[in-house]
Amino acid sequence: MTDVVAAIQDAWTELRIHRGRVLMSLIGVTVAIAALTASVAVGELARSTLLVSMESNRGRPATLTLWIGPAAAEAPSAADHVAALDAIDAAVERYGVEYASARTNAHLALAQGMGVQVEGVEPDFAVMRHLGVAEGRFLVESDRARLAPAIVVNRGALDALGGGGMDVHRTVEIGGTTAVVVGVVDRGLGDEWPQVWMLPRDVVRVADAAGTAGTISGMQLEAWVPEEMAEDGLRMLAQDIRSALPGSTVDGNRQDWQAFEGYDPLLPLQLTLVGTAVVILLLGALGLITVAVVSIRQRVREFGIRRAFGASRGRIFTAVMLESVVGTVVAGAIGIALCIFVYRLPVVQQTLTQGIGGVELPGFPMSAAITGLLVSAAVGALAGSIPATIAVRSKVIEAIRF
Amino acid sequence: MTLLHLRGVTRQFATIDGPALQILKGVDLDVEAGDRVSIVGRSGSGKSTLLNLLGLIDQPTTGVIELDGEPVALMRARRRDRLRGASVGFVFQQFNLIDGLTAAENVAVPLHYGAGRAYWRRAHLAREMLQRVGLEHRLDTRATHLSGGEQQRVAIARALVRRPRLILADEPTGALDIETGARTMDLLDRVATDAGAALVTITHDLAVASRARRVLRLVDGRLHPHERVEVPA
Repeated sequence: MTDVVAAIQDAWTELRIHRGRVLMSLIGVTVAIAALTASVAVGELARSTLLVSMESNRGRPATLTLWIGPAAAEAPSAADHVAALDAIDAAVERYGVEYASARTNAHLALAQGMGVQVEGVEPDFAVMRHLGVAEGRFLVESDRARLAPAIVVNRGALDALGGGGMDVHRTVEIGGTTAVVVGVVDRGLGDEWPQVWMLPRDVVRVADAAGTAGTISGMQLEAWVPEEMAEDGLRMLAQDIRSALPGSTVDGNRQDWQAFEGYDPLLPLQLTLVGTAVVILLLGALGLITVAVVSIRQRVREFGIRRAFGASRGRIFTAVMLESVVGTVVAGAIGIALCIFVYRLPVVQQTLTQGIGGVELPGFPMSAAITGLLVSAAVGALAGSIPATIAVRSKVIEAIRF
Repeated sequence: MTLLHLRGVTRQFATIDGPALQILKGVDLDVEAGDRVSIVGRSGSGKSTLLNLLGLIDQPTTGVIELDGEPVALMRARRRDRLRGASVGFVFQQFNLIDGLTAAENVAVPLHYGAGRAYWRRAHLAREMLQRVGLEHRLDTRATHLSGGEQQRVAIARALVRRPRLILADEPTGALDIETGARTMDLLDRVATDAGAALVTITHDLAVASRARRVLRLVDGRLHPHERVEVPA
């Protein structure tokens, strides 16, 4: 124990004594580690952002989608839609699916004769599709008991309603029915097209009251289940719904991005970033090794003195190696801190979140910081092993008489 | 009790383009605990080679070296290193202090390779040793900012901080003026006596050599008793 502490103490003392040289040689390592950490972090951020984006569009793994086709050739009535919703609810309840949502669409009048696409979804849908609200809340279970249906609008719909701030608790006329805005969604760029979310049964009710039940399109069930249950789940849910709705067609498949095996859209980007960082890192390590080898030859006398006073070859090797590792780990930590500081700058945050509104920018990826720290220690060990070997090969006698 | 025992010790060095160079040709020497021995000889006679063998830094080509009755040749390198650190203290002609360290840090260097307790008390022990050599006011002064005499006193404190039983001094006054050299030798004698350590001094200065109880002359690779000559003060 004492040997380990003493070796670290020796290394720290040497770093202190030669701080000028050490600082100069470690600048390259600091920059290299900062570059590597930034590359890993950007890769991670891009991956998580794209992942959220893909899950927003296609659902989380594994998302099962079942389409329920009408039994008759003519357009289904409101009663048919309610029957389909009942069948969906029964199937979901029977198999204890934790996250599921019936989905339907209707085109309803919103304001000044303007139509809007209303999507009927259950409260779980917000979790399943990363649908975050900028103000207010998303639909909840208690909304089922409301006399005036609750709706969530996007920025485009809010603008259509006369703009203004993202104020909730305002009432609007939709399809001739008074509804209450309980939340506003802002997904950034591309969210200008008006969209409204409402509970599926409310969609059926409002469309029916407006005499436009025939415009309700495609009743669906979307279920987010554990991946190992995807295949059986799809079959059983379809079977249940089919038997509850005689004559109807029920088709389904997995829609999430992981359903397409071997597809990793981020791999080329990540490989490019990491490849660039590794080249920078190698250049930094090369500079470090050069300075270390040159400077170690000037310290031969010191090693001789230490050997004369009882230091073994192993101890000298460890001390020189530790000097390098301690130095590069400190340099790496500074590089990582620099990276985190830059990442947290408001201007950088704004740049990174541009165009991905509604998706919260995650904190600085820990994996990037840990990778940076491990790599800096590895570079230190690699760069330290060469001068350490030179140090132990120096002869005490010549060293003292140097 | 015999601390250090040498019998028939030879040391030769290979040369690039000629026969091996025979520096020591059969050295016999016994150093008792608390002994005072001076070894004199001309430049190139092999004094430093002998000192390196006495200090377990080098190994003889043939012959036996025993420390406390234990043959050094049979020891593993790591054990020899530890034994050197624990039993031998060096004082060099060029002081050999580590430039970037303070006086106290230089004195503490040997304690880094010692037992755990001594390591944790290194600051205290170094201060105590520097007090004994009269440098308590220079504890935090860097080695490069000390005078030659002060540097040698720091080197003496460093040699004694682990309480070795053998102090090897290689031309300890060689880089000092006569007056400072005499004061340094007084100090070395005193602290070695206080510590009960044997002192082997290698020098070509007869005035320094005459302070020892035994003076040996290294001639033609062998040690011979040296006839005492009165050195004018």
